Amino acid sequence: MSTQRATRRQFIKRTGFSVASFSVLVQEGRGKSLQQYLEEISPDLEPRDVIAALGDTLIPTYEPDYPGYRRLEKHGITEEVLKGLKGVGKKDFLTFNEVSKDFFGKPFMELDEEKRADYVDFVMGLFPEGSFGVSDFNALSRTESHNRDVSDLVESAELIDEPKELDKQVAMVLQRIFKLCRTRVLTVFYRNFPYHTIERDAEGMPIPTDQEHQIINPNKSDIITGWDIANFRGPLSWEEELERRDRFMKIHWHGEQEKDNIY
Amino acid sequence: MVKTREYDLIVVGAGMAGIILAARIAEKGINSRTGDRLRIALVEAGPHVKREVGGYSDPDWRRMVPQIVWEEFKNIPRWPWPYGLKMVGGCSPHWGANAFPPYDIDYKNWVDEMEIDWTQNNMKTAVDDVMKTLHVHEDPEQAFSVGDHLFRDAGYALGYHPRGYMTARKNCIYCGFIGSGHGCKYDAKGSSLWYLPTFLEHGGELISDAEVQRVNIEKKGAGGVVTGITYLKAGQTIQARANKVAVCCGTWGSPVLLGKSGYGPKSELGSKTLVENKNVGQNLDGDTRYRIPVIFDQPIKEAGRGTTGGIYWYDDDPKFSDGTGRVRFADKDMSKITYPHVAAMSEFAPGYGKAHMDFMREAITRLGAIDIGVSKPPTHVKGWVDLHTGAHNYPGDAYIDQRMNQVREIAIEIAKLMKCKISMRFPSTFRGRGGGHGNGTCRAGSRPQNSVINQDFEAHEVQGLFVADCSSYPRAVSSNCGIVGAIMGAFAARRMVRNYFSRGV
Repeated sequence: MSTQRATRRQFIKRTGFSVASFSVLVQEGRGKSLQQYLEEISPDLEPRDVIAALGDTLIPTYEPDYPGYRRLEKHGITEEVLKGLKGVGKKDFLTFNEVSKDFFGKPFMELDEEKRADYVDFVMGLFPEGSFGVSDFNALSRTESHNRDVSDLVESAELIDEPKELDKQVAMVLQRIFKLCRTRVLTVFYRNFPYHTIERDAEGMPIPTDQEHQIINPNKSDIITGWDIANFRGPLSWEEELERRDRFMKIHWHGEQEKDNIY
Repeated sequence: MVKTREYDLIVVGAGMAGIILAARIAEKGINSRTGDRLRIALVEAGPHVKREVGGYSDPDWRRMVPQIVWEEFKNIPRWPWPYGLKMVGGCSPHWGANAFPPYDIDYKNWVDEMEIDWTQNNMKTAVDDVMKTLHVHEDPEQAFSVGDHLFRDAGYALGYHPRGYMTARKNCIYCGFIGSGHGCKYDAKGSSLWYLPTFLEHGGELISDAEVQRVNIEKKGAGGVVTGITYLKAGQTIQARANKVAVCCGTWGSPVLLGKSGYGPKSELGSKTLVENKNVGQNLDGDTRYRIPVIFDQPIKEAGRGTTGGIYWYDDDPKFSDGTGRVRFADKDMSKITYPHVAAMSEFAPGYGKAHMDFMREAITRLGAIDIGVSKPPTHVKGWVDLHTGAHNYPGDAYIDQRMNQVREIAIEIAKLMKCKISMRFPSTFRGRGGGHGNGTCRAGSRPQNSVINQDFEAHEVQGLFVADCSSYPRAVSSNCGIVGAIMGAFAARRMVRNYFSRGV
């Protein structure tokens, strides 16, 4: 691939980076190596704390309209997120925290809310175009290759102004951590945590909330959960069952539309 | 300790095909020598969840399965996640109830390519049996969502003939929990369990929690003859004797059991080969599908509730007269439930923050997908099942890639007509991704050189061994396979009764 020259504006336009204050050049052997970061990290930091901070950034809390991740900490949401984070080690989290220092002046954990969001934008910029929030198919020109990895473009660009450098291996660690954490945080939150499981008896059998009609709905009204935000009601109540039964009993099943259906 | 039991017929696998096969033979068949009722065993590896008073929605069943979000299945040790589910009823209690019988071209393929008599006319009574018992019908228009209407209108505008999905349900209240592996509180989704009372009322013996180790085959000349099965139950090894065994373990399971029994290709079974047939586990056929996400500016369906299976139509490649290249267009999730955690990971969702939460407030009512797929791949493209592991492989083909790209262009036109946004992500190749709704791994045909069973479902080389399920039909059908597997059970029952279990045989 030939090296190209580009202005910062062209570069950002081409790569889709949304970090406004600087441009980034990702390349093998450029910038601080993964090993160098590992030598500098603080071993006292726990992955749990990084996840909690990242969760708070991904699903921020601004009462009352944005009931986010932080409110559910007292119910153990970060511990639930941690349960499903397989394949990433403590060093990865610490690297994620440390890299921020070279681009935003402080480790991720020490940044304020706004700067943490900038760092997340920075990491998201490492992903291929359209990875998050594709809004309009017209915006994605169909003459371009949509499956092309943005890192190819980043690697090929030689910027006129001086970009900050990021080693490709380090970039891959950031991508992996972000992708896994984002997936896990959003999935746990929007699976109705902390009411994501139904209550069971000693034999593991679900306990109905309504014995007569065997209603099993884990949703409760005392905490605003991801289901509430998404307007997902969960399983039906008995009243809703009755209403739907009444509505669908009126359907004439073998009406006009089925005249050419032999069954 | 080895125990021994004796039967006239043993059916292995109480799934979609096995229950129907066993029920109809128990009902219609007799011992051809004595005229007595048949002694039939239906053996299933998984449990039987039965109720004490009529029907199949006992308190146990109702508490366990209905109204539970599908992830809950993962937490039930007795029943692993449905896609690997072993239980009496097989996939049918938790399938999506999409029930498409074979089309004219499907019958024609079977007859023309394999020289068997599986014509529409010959199979009609079996098809009618399943369609009526499972109450298969087109979804009623009153249950269509806004999204269904938009998709149907787009189809009409492009010159197609859109229809509501064929589904198997009774007394459905359209709560939406029919799909995605949920059980149904009222057993509204058509299920092979509906045949089980017939089997039991006619003296059939259901043996659940019994894992069949092998079909016992004795060498006879160049071939073999069935003597029964060996199975494990409650830690005991049990021999069951019968000179007729029907294997109904599905496209992936049946060839593996035949392999364990020493029937299959010598190249795979080596010294364990008892009777050779090179086609066991081969000739895997199936569709290649891809779901293209779309998002609308306005709600197109009820939040957290579902209505129909969707709308569909076919697009045939005019270059082929045998249906090769047939593509099914279908709306997906435009009337089915979209779960919040799935919406949260949508590619239309902003990365994070307030914008993501704002997106989430209506996402489950605005997301959908256009499903496209080559239902009938070229005849030379076949996959295979590993007889040792059950893993399956499907190679794909340049034509499939080209056809999928071709119909993707149509999907983009549909999205424009529906005024929604469509994802532009698309695989660069579909090689290795096909073989869905698989079939053919023990396929029927007139010659042992290219098939495992004959048109009467009996193995070419092993007397008394039958295979009746999705592995039996030799070429992919136009649509989903579930109801076709059921039809195979019903049709095989008729053939077996005619040939072995009636007076005058």
